[in-house]
Amino acid sequence: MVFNTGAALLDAIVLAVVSRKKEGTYGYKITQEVRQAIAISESTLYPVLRRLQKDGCLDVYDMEFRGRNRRYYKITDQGAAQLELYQTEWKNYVSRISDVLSGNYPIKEEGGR
Amino acid sequence: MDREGFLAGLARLLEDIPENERREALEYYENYFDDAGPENEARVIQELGGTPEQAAASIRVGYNAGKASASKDYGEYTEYGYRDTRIPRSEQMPRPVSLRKKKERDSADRTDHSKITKIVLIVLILIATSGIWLGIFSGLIGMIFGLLGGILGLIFGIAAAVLALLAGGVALSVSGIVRCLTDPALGLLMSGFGMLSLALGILSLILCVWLASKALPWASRWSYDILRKFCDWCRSKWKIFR
Repeated sequence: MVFNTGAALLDAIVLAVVSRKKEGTYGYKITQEVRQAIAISESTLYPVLRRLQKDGCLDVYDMEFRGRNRRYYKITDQGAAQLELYQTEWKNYVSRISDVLSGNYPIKEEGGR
Repeated sequence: MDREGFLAGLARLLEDIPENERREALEYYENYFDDAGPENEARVIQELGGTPEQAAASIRVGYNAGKASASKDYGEYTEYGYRDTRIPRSEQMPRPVSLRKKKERDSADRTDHSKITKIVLIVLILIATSGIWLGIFSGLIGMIFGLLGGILGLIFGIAAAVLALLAGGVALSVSGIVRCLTDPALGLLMSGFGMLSLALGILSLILCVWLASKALPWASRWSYDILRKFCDWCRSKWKIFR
């Protein structure tokens, strides 16, 4: 992977992955799914999940699974709103970058010229 | 390292963050190992960096970033992404190796011929002048050993002189005092010289201790600096040559 993934994009990816499961999903699974999209080390995701949880974008709850506790992450309304924002931003970003890279960037006068 | 060792190490490394943060992180990784299953334990540990250091560092960075964003003073922290230099192994994100390799390959193709001739030429010159090089090399080795021997000799010589001063001083003053009983003038003279020698011995001993504690560390640092500068210089020359 040549391009860096910034913190915001990683947040967006994690929110998108978590939001696919209405009843919530757990750390190992989130990591595996995020890694289908981008190459990250396994230790990267915990701080991100913790931060999203603190920011109120994710809810955590424990549920019993095969005789042990498993921590589930679930998207909150605030998280869903944040994800929506990221999705719109991403679409704009991607279409602008694609235009530039493919060479048909619309020439537009900007900045009051 | 197995799962238990990893988690114990992680707990130890996170001793400086608040208890609830530490427990939260440990529970996450316990969960993680449980969900990965025992058959994946080794792989997970390996991908976590083999040791708990990397995981601990990213947890701590995340914790600090959380604190910082709460105070809203550290906008910088929010962009730490994957490429945080505070995390020891920067392999959070694979480097754009493919791109770099390609560039190197391109330039290698272009300069292949001139490079080979250059190397052949250098090898030929080295062989032709090997006598000179061997001479210089053995000369250098000899010089280094000579210097080391000289320094060692100097140290032993000084130590012996100091010991002689001390021992001679003690002996002379004691025999001088004894002599005082029979021949007061000679006795006083002897013990006087003895004490002078003892005093000189003590002074030089103090001087030696001071030198060893102050001058030696300074000298070693100095020689290390010189050596490093020399290495840097060699490296820069090598880069220019390549």
